Amino acid sequence: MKLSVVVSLMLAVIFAVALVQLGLVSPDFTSNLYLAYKYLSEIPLQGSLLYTGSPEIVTSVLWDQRGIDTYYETTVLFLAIIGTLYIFAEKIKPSEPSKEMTVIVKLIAKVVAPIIMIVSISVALHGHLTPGGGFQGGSIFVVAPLILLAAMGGSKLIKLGFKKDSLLSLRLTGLILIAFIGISTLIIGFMKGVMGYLFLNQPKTYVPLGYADVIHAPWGEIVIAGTLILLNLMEFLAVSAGFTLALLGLDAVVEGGKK
Amino acid sequence: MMVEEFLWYYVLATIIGTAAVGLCGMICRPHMIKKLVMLTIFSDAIEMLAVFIGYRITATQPPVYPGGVIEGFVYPSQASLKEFAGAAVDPLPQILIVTAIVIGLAVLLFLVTLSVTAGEMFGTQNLSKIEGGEKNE
Amino acid sequence: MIHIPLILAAIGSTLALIASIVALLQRDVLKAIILSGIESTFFALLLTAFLAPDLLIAYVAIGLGINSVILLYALRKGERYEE
Repeated sequence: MKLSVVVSLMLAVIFAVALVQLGLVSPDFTSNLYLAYKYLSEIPLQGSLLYTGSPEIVTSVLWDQRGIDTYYETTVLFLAIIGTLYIFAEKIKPSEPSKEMTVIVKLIAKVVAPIIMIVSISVALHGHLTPGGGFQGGSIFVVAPLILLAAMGGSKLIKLGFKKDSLLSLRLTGLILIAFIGISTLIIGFMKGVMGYLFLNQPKTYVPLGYADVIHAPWGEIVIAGTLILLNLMEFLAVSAGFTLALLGLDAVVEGGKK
Repeated sequence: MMVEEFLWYYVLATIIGTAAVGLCGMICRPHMIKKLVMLTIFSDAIEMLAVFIGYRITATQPPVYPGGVIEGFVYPSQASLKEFAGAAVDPLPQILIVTAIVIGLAVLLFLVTLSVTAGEMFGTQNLSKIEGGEKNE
Repeated sequence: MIHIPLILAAIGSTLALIASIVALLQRDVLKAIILSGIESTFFALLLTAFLAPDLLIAYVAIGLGINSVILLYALRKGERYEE
């Protein structure tokens, strides 16, 4: 153990000194790099090339300028969930917890879980206006079946409707619809004879087709930022259903008794 | 400015120190779940380091443009956007780390299933009690 | 004169370093999992000081809620103390 402590400390000191000496980090940086300045000043500006229609920089770069990266990351999550389900290749049966919980724990779990579900879908749908989005909403959603699982056992979850087949089909629906929205401008442009692009959001000067950014309703205006609201909703479905499925598989093995 | 520079170097040193503690713990300890706990500590510290590189001392705003969404949608003008870009934090490291957090959770799920299966097969989760496992001191 | 975000960041990162050193030297794996949850809380304080709201929402839900419970489930198939 002494050798590994010395080696890791030496590696850390060399790394820190190299970062400061090469000029990569410094407390004297007071203005942004050129790429960050270009993103910050041109994404909310109407009429520029990078316009996405939302004042939130992080979500619009994730889904519009780097959309293919985010799509492949959702695929990597799907591969991890398939690996988990393949190792636990048995039917997920309803099980009871090994120790009965008291009344206080069960009552608080029943009260808190619907509140968490409603907050998570609100965070996911407002991803283009305030900090939030698909990943954040999906991660918050997973905490609600986790609390119910620890307090009341797997049989209660299956009675509530979290079955294995329905969760798997929700996961696949989310992934396929993200791919379909990304390819749709390419197909429509091919049918009309115009060049279309993958994950295209707003119409540009050289591409005359795209999604709208503001809907004019008779009672006011609704800001949807093109494809951002649809992609956030699909990502929320995909992330929440996938992680709940992996949790059901883990619980079935740990509490399921001897094999 | 002396106090702020000292605090900046101090935060850099402690974040890299936490990463070194996590790296040392992954190698030394023989229990499988302890190794997974140290893996999560190590990856969290590297993510904080990446967000720390994008922080400016004179910045006062997160990368969300304020205004324009209350009562009627007004398109922002170019002068207010220039002022916003001068006072905001660098958004590029934050975008890359959102992806890294969720992929870290997926990798941890897979490693947990592997260690649960190994615990059932060998009867123990301590690597020095299995024949052919690693031996520490 | 007083730069409040950097003072908050210094407090948060010092306490996270202390929590992770205590987690390394523990013999009881259950206490190590709880200490990693405490360390996630101090890293959330650090993220607030660095003005990153998107990361904060995802990090609190994943690092504090899901990681602890999954590792506690995985501990049931082994022994609690490492020697």
